[in-house]
Amino acid sequence: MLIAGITVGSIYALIALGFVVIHNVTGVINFAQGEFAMLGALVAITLSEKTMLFNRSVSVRLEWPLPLAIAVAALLVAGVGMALYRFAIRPANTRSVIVQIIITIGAAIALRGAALIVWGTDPHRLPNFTNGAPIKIGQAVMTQQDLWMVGTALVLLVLLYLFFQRTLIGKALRACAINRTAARLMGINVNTMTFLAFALSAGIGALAGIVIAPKTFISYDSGAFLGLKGFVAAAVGGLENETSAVIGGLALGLLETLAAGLLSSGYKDAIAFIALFIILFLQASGIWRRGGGSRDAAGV
Amino acid sequence: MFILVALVLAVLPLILRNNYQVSVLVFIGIFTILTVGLSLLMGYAGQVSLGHAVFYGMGGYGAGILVLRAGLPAWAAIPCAAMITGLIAYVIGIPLLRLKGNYLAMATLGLNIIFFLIATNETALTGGPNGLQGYGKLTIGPLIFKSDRQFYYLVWTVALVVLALSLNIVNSRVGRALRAIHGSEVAAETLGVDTARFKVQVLVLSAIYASLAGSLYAFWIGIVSPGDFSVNFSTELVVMVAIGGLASVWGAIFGAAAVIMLTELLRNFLPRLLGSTSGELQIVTFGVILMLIMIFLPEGLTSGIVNRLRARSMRRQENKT
Amino acid sequence: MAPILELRDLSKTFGGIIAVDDVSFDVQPGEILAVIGPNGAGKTTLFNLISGLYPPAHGDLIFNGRSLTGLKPNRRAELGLARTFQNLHMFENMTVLENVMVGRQQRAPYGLVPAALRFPHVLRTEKRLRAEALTLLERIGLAGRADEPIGNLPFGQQRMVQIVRALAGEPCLILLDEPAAGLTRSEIGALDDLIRDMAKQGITVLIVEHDVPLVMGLAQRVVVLNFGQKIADGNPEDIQRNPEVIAAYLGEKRSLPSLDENKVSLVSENPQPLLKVNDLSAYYGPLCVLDHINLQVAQGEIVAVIGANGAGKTTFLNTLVGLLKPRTGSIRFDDQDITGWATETVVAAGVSLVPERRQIFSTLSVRDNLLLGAYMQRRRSRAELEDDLGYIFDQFPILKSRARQPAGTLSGGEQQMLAVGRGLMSRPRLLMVDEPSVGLAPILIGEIMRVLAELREHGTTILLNEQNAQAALEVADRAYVFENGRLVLEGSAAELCCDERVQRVYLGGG
Repeated sequence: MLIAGITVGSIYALIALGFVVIHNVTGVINFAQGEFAMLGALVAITLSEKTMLFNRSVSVRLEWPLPLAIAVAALLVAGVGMALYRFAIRPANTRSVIVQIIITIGAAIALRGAALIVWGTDPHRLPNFTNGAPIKIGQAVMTQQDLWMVGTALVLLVLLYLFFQRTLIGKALRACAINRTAARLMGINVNTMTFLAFALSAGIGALAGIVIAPKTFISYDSGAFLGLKGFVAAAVGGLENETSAVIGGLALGLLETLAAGLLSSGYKDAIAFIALFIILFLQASGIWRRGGGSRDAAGV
Repeated sequence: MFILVALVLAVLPLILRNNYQVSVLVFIGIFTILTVGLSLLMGYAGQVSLGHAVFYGMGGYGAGILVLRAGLPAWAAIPCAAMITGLIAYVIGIPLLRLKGNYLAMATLGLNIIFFLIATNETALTGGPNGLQGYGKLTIGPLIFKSDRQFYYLVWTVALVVLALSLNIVNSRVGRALRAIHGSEVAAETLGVDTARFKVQVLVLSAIYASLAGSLYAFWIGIVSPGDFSVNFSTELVVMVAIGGLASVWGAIFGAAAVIMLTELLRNFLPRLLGSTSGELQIVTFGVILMLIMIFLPEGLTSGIVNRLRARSMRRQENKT
Repeated sequence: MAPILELRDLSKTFGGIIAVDDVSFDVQPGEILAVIGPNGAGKTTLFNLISGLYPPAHGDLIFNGRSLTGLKPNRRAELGLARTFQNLHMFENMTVLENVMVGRQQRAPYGLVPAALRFPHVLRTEKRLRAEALTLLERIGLAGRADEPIGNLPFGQQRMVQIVRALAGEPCLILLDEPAAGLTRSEIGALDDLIRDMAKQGITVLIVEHDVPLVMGLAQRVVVLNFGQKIADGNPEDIQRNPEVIAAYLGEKRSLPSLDENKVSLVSENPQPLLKVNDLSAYYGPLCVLDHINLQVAQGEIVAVIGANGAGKTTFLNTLVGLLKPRTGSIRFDDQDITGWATETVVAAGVSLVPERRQIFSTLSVRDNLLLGAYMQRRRSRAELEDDLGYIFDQFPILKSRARQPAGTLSGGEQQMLAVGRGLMSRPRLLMVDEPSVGLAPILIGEIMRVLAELREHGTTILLNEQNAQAALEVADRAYVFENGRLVLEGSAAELCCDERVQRVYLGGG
């Protein structure tokens, strides 16, 4: 059970990271984050398997090798992410939270609808990345795909960590998040950085979707729940802290598997939201933030 | 203005022969009740709510459950459900409205989902995923509400009352207080506006409106199922309010009407154009339209268009002189 | 007579920084009391504590005999405590009249239900509110524009509406937070009249202000804050002569090596200035923040820009570096017109700004902060970067010992050094430093100035903003004095050092 929790948790952690990256650099909460996961999976499936598109009227038989399909899918979705910034968020140029939220919701709806048109309501699946005997770790048994899931999540997390902590560009991205004006004074082009943030977020989201696709069926509306849960995980860190987002994701996965065992499985999704409430209220009362609030809290 | 609209509405069903068209208008009426409340909450007070369908659902399920399980007559169940919904909104509202912006949005979303899950799972109480039915017709005295036309008058009477009340509120110190909170919560506080109390008040009011809409819907359609109160519907409500104009009570009617007309249009005409993909295209169109409106007309269609026209006529005047 | 407001040992800390430090004083009913102090002294924080925007770390506030502890701002307003804000905070979504009505309506409460049902007394109350708000607008001559959106009014008039809005609730004490900021001379005159009016009606006025003539003319009593502490309390004339106050604003007179006359000749050798600013004007919306500035900096000099808070010094540097676009005028750097260039390109051209309040990346390490300073030169080899780092570490040894620590854990002085070091990493031709002395103890100020002087020896040209005129003039070659966005004095540092006019710019009087 622990393994199952960590497995699904690592996916949530990845999606959560996508939220945090975009929020940090731009302050926007991307309600379309889950859709990136869905798109990544569906595009990868289309590239590597025989798929019927457009209401069974078009048949696609690219059948590319899986690694190639995955790479291309992630890059394409990264492109979608950049387009989202360029054509929906940047032109709006607004500081109103409501408007930004509605824009990303609109984008999520549009992406979902587009997916519906292209792939219909059929659920799709990727084959297992490798086929082989399940692996025994202590008392628990992990399928090879589970290993891929956790492994990919781990690798991505490590790569991201190194990127943000060791490379200059990664640090520049973090700088944009910490203090936009000071970052500009360093000569950092915040616009370019924002593109990068969106591309990165979308790419990570796509990979998260791809890696979960062999285990669960993905269809046009899978993005909604994934996105929501990723958000809960990200909210643990106040949407600002990458490490907390990862911890949040893992914790959520564990909580969910535990709850599914104890409560009826219909309510397992509710756990996520109850956890969310508790976290949000704790945050609102400022327990998790150090110090007695900030000078700018009053906005004066 | 108000009287004009009321007269037009009174006369409309007599002109329309098609029952289908009348039923569309009933939908618009029900959604208007919803959007007016949401407009007060989001547009005037500036509090983001992505889960407003939860109160709609409480009204629908509440009325049905009160009739079926508590034996209340329909005409009593509706206000009862409304009061219960208002109470729940009050209790949740006090901690909930301490959250701001994105966090509030997500919390309301979560609320909606939890409600959805309860409705789906507690089959004994709610009829589960198949929904609740069999609670009978709405009777007020000797009147039994059966036909679309009857519901039309009932729904629009309620809608007009709600509209009138809301317009009064908006033009009063309460409306100003709400707009002040939206404009600058800090300044409002230092001027003596009890922001917390006002926010909760407007939440409870919009919840009661939504509950009434839900109850009316329940008795009209005859069955309430979880899918009617999902997050998708909440989003649709936000779309309606945004399109109509976030801070405009009249805009609420316009937004509700616009969205429903668009849906009908797509449903009826698109198949003739593109085969059978109308449902999906409608979804995409929704999304794209929503984005475009928010990008170019963040104040919504009504105020946005009005402002643009005003600006253009002022420019024309300047060019003349 | 019992004081209307008592501050008792009021303290507030943010993170590790003490913003208000055990401040105590009384306010007598009906008086006009000014709170002054250099930038960062804690004045706005004090006001925020009084109006209840956040709780004090400890201490108490007694208003009309009752403790304000735990009371929310709207409760305090109901008790008769009003306030205005530095950044207007107008309700942009309403008309002028409606803004004032919001201020007035706490005197006319009716609830949600009566409002919805439009009871007759609601209609009567609304009429009365409108009339009363209109009367208030007449007092400032704006009744004619009552139904226009508030955004249509010029800044100065919005400011007046804000004050009238706060007065509409009939407070007995009003806090005015920098009401003269951004006003023209004539608007300040109208403000003066309004405040005198208030006092005549018996309203107690607490005012934070940098406009010296206004404050010294109006106030009966002045409290001076510095580093969050109260350092003086008395009538305006005494305060103007108080040596501690003068030192707080202008800096201490220290015995440093005398200014080197040879420096002047270095300047005249090079006819082409590195930076030439012509007739530069800039606006924040309708508000003019820079008014036809003419300035130049020759290669190898340190030029100081001094002046009181709000004089436009920071706005000036921000405009030079491209954060704010000027409306008229030109900026030439190294014989290139850089007017209107984006910040990234200005930095690439060799201009570096060490911003006000340091603005280091607090969660990144000291080393990372410095490396980001060299972001523009990331094509440089590893070895070169290490060399540059080495140079910075030599200048600021304390940074070397803290290289791996998150920058936010450094003390104020260390952060300032880090900010300067970060600015140097890009090997700029022109280094601009914005108010490095704010919040620093005198010893550290000396350190920073010493470093700047040494940088000049190594050929870096420096443009230095400083509120602390003394410290700046001791290290600079030439200086310009700003007041209200205008250039009012210029000359060599030696000349200005002893010029009384400089003192008057800060404190008035004389």
